[in-house]
Amino acid sequence: MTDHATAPRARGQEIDPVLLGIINNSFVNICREMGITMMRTAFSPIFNEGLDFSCVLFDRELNMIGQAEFCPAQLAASLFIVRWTVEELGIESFAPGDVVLHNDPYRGGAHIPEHSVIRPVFHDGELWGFVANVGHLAEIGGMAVGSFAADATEVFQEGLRIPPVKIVSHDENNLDLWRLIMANHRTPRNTWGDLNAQIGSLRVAERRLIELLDRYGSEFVADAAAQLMDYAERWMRSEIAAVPDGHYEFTDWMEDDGVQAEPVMFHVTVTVDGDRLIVDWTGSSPQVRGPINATFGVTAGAVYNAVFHVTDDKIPKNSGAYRPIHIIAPPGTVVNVVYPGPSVGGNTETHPKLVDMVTGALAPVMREHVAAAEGASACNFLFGGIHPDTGEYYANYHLEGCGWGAKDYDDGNSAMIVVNGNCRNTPVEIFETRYPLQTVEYRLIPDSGGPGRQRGGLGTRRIMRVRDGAEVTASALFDRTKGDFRAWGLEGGLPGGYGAIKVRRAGDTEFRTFSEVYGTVSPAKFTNVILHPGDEVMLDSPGGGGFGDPRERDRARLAHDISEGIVSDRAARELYGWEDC
Amino acid sequence: MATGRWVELRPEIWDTVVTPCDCCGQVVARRLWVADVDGVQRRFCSTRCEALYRTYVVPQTRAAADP
Amino acid sequence: MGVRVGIDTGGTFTDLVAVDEDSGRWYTAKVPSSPDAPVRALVEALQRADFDPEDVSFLVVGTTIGINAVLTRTGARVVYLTTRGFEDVPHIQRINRRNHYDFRWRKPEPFALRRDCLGIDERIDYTGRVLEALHPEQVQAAVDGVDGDATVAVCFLFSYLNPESELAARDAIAAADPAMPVSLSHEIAPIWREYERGTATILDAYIKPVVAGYVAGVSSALSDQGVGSTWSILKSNGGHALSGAARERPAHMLLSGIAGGAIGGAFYARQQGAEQAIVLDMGGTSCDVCLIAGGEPAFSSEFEIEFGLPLAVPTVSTKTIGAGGGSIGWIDPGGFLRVGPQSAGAEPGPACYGRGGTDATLTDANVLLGRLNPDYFLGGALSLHPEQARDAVRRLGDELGSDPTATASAMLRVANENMANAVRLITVDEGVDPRAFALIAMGGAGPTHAAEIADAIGIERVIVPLHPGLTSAFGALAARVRVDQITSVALSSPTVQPAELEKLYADLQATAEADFAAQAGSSERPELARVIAMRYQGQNYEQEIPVPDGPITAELLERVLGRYHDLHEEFYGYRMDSLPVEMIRLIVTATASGGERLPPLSAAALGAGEPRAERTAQAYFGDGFVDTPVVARADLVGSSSRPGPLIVESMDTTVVVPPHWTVRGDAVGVLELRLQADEPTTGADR
Repeated sequence: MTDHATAPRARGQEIDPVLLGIINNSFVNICREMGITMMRTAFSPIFNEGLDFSCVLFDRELNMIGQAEFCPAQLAASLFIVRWTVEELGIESFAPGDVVLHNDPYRGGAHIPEHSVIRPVFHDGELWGFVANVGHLAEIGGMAVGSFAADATEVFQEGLRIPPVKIVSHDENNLDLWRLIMANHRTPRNTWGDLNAQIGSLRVAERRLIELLDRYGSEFVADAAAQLMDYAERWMRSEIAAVPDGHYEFTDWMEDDGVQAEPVMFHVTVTVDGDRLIVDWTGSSPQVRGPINATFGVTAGAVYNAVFHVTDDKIPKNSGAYRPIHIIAPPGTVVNVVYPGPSVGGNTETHPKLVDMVTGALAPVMREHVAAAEGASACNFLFGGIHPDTGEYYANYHLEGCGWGAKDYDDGNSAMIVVNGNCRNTPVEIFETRYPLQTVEYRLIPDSGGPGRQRGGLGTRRIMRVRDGAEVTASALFDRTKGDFRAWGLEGGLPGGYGAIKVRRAGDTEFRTFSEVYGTVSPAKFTNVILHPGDEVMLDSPGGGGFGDPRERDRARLAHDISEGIVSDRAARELYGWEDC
Repeated sequence: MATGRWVELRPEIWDTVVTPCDCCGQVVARRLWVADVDGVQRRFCSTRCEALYRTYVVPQTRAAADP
Repeated sequence: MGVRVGIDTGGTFTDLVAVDEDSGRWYTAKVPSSPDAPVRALVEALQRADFDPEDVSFLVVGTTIGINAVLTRTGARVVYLTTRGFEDVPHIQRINRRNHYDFRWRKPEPFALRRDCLGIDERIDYTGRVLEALHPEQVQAAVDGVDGDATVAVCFLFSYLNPESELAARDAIAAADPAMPVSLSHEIAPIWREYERGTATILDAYIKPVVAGYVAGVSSALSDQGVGSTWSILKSNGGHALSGAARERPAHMLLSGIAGGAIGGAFYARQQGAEQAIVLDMGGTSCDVCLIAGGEPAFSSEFEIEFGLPLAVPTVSTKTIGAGGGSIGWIDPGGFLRVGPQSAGAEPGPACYGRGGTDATLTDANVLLGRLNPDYFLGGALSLHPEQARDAVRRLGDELGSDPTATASAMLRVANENMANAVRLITVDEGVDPRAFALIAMGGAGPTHAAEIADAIGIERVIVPLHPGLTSAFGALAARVRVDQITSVALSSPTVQPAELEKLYADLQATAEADFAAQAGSSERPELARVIAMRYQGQNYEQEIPVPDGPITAELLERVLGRYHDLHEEFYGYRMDSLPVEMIRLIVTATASGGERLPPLSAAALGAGEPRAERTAQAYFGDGFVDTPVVARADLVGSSSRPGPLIVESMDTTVVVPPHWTVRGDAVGVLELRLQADEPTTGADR
């Protein structure tokens, strides 16, 4: 963070809080309009159905002054990407009608599929600020179809890396650059549609921001933005100050990195020091060979995500709210990958674990605000090939919802997307119309919610069969499938159920792990396994952790769980101490 | 407490290794804040990180070394 | 010919608007609703209106009976039958969260217990081919022994392409228990997305008994009154259907109570020549906003009962915002003033009602700023206590550090800005620019706020209908029979054959005409309109493009596609002519033909009220109190344009005309407010 980003700017007079509130709403509304435009026009399901994108507004000093968070994983990344881009290219190089494209994980990015577009906004001939959005492109080349290489060891295997470059100059497409990108993605037409949707929505936001500046005056709005950041900062500081000072530590593990069959350790020390919060990841494992490393942007995003969960959700999400939060992530560790280490899974698998760790560390002093661990795996399942009906190349990025952790005051929800995104599932009828796999079942897994006085949410099971005439290339990135790596409970709550990805080849009787059938190093993180007609894949998502002693669970609620088939008779007897069955 | 100076980075077009902040670990695009902390030249992304280094990292390191 | 009657039974009031088609005489009535005995208020309204029930030729009711059963969770036990392996779909839902950063949110409970969601062996594939035929004995076993009050919802995968399994299931259930009510997904919502289709079907089954009971009760009461037993219900899509037909698909009349306002607003938009308009229906607790395009309300199949509980049937597209006269002003922990969504409701109501309310509401702010006349609220029906309004606002102001006047003014600005933002979002969602639109101000509070909301959006024209508090009942009266027949398809522009489309539309049209005949109860020929929902291959959201009349030829298809590319460019700033265009939904709409069927509006009967002497009040605008003339609405009938500031009072609302706006009344007293072109907007009042 450079100094001119945070230095107090010359202020006009104090603006009355009513008008400030109105201008804050306008900032958020501009970002929402940008997001709706993108959702309606984007091509990749992960974009338009999964809503895996975020929209942000920056002032001239590179402070984020407004955002519509469609996807929390991009919270911090958008902050760092815009700042990096402007600093690297130089603020003087931006002209009206330019759009810069960028996806480099080592330049502030989250992971390589996430592409940012940034457009300067001029008012009365002066640069006023920037509008930007970040979105997940479904296919960007690299070693694995769907660009989610679970056993990648270098960024070059993960897809096409793009440093900050002007893809549009003075509202004219830089076609040489477009051609280069099209040649390196497997489904270039989708890329074309998605990037156009991103760029088109910037124009919508630019128009609305200029209207706002016309109405109130550019200096006035800049002053209002500065005061709004001070306001958010004050509010965040007051929330932090209410937490007892101290150092709070937490350790958690991932079962492996996809390349070596070794657990990976994460460690955090959360320090509350008056009205500042320091989240220090020193002590975490060195960077691993596989792609579960987090970039600094991912780690910072996870910290902000956690802090926003345990503080008032009405604090405006601008740079001011971030100021009291300090993040330390040593370079070359699993929480701050350095070139050319892989990081594609850091955003989906590592981010939610880091969120849980920060809230877990704070649990002793904020117990009424926190939750036990969630399933915390996006259950990434990537597949593609030549579609037997059309003869065209297709690729899909598939996700599952997991169980949420229980809280002191309530059960966790079942089948929810991980905390770092907000995607929807793909309806079976849309899925089968588009892809040559038939879904055999899609159901909740009984007993997968961590038992507790409050129960964790349930995971889901989906079984899919490859259709006749199809050959499917599949990759996966799951976690919590074995050992002690299930979603942890709090205050005596038990862990949630295991995740799994298994296969039953045509003619086999049982589902087995991919390690057993195909010899992959990791049972749940692998790339490019070929599936044939009749082969079935089973995806189990992990359940959430419980809260409190299960024997203290309210008997009426337990009876309801039993009659609804959420808790089995056996689990009720053995874990909940149920004697009536 | 800012006692250092700004140093401009001039990476070549083929340079791939970027410089991280000695405090937070974040990479730096163009400008490094270089300051002397206990006789060692440290590179920071901002004066804010120099302050964090002095008020958090140094005392933590000291506490770890001298339990 | 005879008396045509529109009735709206809302949560608080039951309203009636009627007109004698022979004499042209209009009637109105407003009585308190009776939620515990829904038929009673309806009968009271009929009795209150001054016409002979025997003369009633036609009667349409808009009702909240269905949505109330849903919101209070008092519907039937539903047994849900689905393809084996997919029993949990109603419980898994779509896996997304309502808000980020919120551990407290609970996923919505579906309207069928998990143990009542049962799998049946059968399977149809994505082309509609039967992979495994239904096992009727499994269906019979599933419903065997289910208690007599239960209903059955059936949703099999891909039934929108091939209804064979669902039809066979209905036969099997009828064989086991002929009286068991059954809802089939391909009839209720023939769209893809099994969760959305299944949920609509479950909702249909859930409210079927309560709606059937209501229909029987109203029929019997109407017979007793001498009206006869033939009457219609307003559906969610703004059309009406004979009560006997509507009862068969109750999911389609779930939002009956909301549709009337939009239809009434659209009527006035057309009357005033405003083809593009936004209806703003602001009452005591909330504000419904609806887009009018081409003189008709916008439609949607994406309505949500609550977050995550969709109702995927054609519905007048209305967004509800928690901003009404009773909305409470409060200070958030960061020190910002906010208004709503909490409301003081009818009890205790705003502080100025003097019924023990202590929170400062928008009504209190309006009283304090001289915009509402304490002696003439609801035409003097309720006497307000301005000193209590001032006390409440002062308490809020003390927290904020500003005096009561500034606080009240700030409350109005915050609330108006919230509503302006909501309007901007729905218009950007539809891809239109709101500034060229007219705002139709309805509800008790709409006309008080409309001009300043219009200012905030950049709208320059506001229309205030006659009797803005009765527009829902008026809408029920103005509605026409309307059937929307929808089917999901998977066609694409390079390969689609005109003959294939022709066949699909012919089938849809036949169903639409049959439904129309059943719902209209006559042999009248409907007007038919065809629409294709299209998108570029890979996109997920469609735009609906009208298909001109006539046989579908390659040339006609080319024109429709051209229109799609044009619209995409207009809305989103770019086009991709060389990309395949997917066709996702085909829609045939059958509506009763002909133009407006109502006799001319009349000022006297529709609530312009009596002329009264003009007076002058002190009302606050922008930077201070100014002398503001107060006139009775009756005095503006056929008036020339008058400049603001001006306040117009009538029985059921107060119209505020700010400085820089003008107002004139037409021959029957519909008011039109215009922004004066050469003046700055109030947005510049910083």
